[in-house]
Amino acid sequence: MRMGSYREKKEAKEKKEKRFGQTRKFQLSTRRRQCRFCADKKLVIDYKDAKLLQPFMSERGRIIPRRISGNCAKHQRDVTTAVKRARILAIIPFTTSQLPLVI
Amino acid sequence: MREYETVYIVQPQLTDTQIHQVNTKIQGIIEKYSGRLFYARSLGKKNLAYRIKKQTRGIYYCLDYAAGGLCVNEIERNLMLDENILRFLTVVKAEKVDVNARAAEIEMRGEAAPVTEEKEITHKEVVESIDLEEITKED
Repeated sequence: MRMGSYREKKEAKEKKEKRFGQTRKFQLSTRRRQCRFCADKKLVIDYKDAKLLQPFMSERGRIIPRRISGNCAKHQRDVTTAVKRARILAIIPFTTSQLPLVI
Repeated sequence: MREYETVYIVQPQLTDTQIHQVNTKIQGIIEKYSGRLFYARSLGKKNLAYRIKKQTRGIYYCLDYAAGGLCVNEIERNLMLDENILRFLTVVKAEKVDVNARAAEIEMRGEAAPVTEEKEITHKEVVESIDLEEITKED
């Protein structure tokens, strides 16, 4: 990195702060994000699709709550049943300890 | 008549003829009970998320049909008795179904198209993808 003068540094710092302030303001003004299934009606919750269910599961295979995933109540219910069905069919694990580990 | 969807997992080491036998047997039951088979498709050979009957892989098949409850009983009984079936699941897709309209809809949307096989993921990659720190954190 090029060493700048004191003034340059100060300007850069101010610029950064300004930018940060703007983004923060922007975040505050936005409303809560809409449920992704409500936003895109073409998205169908399918228990056979492991990739679709992955964002709604933790690393250990637990279902992520609605307040974090941002789903609406209806679609969270649909996701929950889909996850439970997929577990039965071994598409996604019940827990990570079930993974066929190779040592 | 309801619309049902049955997914079943077949043992991976079976030959094509054996798999064909299993499939035709189950599809025959739908015909016998005067149901309507919309489509039967393969979902491909997949890694199982956990072992079933000491198998780590399985071939998935999906049936979509309209039939009465007795037909489903018979299909499930057959799947349960067959040793080549690892697991199965039947789901009600619709309570009331207009057979011809649904068949046309499926054709239009191309739902019956077979799924292309996914790239094989080795166990090693799966193990590497799990972040050990995350597990300990949740504990």
